[in-house]
Amino acid sequence: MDNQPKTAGEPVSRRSFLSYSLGLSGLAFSALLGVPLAGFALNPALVKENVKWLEVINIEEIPADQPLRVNVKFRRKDGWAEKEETKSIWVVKLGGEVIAYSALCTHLGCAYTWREEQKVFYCPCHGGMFDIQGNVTGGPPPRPLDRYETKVENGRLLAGRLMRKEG
Amino acid sequence: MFNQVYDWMDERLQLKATVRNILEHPVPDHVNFLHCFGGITFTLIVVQALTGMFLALYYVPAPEQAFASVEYISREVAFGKAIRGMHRVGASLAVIMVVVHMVRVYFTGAYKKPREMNWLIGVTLLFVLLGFGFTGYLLPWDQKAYWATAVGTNMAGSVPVIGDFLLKVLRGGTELGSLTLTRFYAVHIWFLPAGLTGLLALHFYMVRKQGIAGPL
Ligand code: HEM
Ligand code: FES
Repeated sequence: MDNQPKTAGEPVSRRSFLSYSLGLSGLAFSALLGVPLAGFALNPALVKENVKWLEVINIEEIPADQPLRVNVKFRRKDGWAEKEETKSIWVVKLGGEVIAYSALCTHLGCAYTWREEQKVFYCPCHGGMFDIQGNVTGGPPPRPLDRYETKVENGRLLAGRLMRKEG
Repeated sequence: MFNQVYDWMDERLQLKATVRNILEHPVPDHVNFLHCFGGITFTLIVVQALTGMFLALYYVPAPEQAFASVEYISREVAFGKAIRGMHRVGASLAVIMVVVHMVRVYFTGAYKKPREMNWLIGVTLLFVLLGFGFTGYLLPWDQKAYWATAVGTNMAGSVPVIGDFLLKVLRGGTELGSLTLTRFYAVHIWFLPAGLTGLLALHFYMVRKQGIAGPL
């Protein structure tokens, strides 16, 4: 566009002024549309979840040094619906301490089991293994078993937020 | 009759020149069966689009109904098993064929200048096809679908720094549920097809504009 005649005294030619304006309004329109669309799509990832304390089990019912899988019923809001769901939590009483593990392997989230003979939590998906303290003893899991924040009220064990320990 | 209609339209739109240009486009001598795989992939994609549109007549993307609606298609709708089967098998075939196509392009060196951009568009197309596979696999909402998605989204979750956010974006929250199913469905039937159409248009435009790469 070098051969465009430039009117004397005009720092910007009429043509480039118009293309800039068009470009700018294009940007403005995209933002006007893009921001609400992005917020709409990402909303479930951006809202803070309020974690409820779940009643897991009576403290007395947990055997010592012997992991126990408890199926906990709870109500969960799933989009527009509210559902009764069951979540498995592994509880372990070690000495005086009670630990509640997420029942999902920290590798890629399969359900694992307790192998009494070897005293390990064993994950069938890729052979991940954890000892009773949740430490990785074999296979691909990158970090120890995830634990729930816990507290005891009236002799009942409550599980709260899931905590992740990088290994 | 046909000729009369054709002439009538040609008089207004000058179709004949365009049609001749397409049908009589010369094909270079060195082009052989190895150059068919892109076209085979495209044919499969057209079949996927058709069978998919028809599956959507009965499919419902909600946790309580998805599995039942899929079973209904298989058990009760005429040709239901066949249409579903075509869509399932076609999905795998398309991925296989696109990989063969890619290998052909690689070994004939057709990705080199001036076709670098079309290679990149090709790579994007590959990911779009894999995206179709990933989102489509969840839709029957059976155990296999559910756990494949649980594990697949967990993989995204293991990305450093943004993993957690990515996982929530994919699942529509921390847990797999209604919102995962609706967003996978929307992506499968709207977002990806829109992207695929645009990318294919570019891909074919470039193939035509640049011509098929020369012999080795
Ligand atoms: C949705 C999937 C795809 C479809 C439907 C498709 C279709 C086609 C078609 C019909 C051609 C004409 C020549 C031929 O068939 O071999 C072509 C050429 C080409 N494709 Fe693809 N393609 C796809 C994906 C890819 C991928 C994954 C790559 C590589 C990463 C790629 C790279 C290319 C290149 C570089 C050419 C030019 C080759 C030449 O000039 O000889 N395409 N594609
Ligand atoms: S998911 Fe447990 S080892 Fe891979």
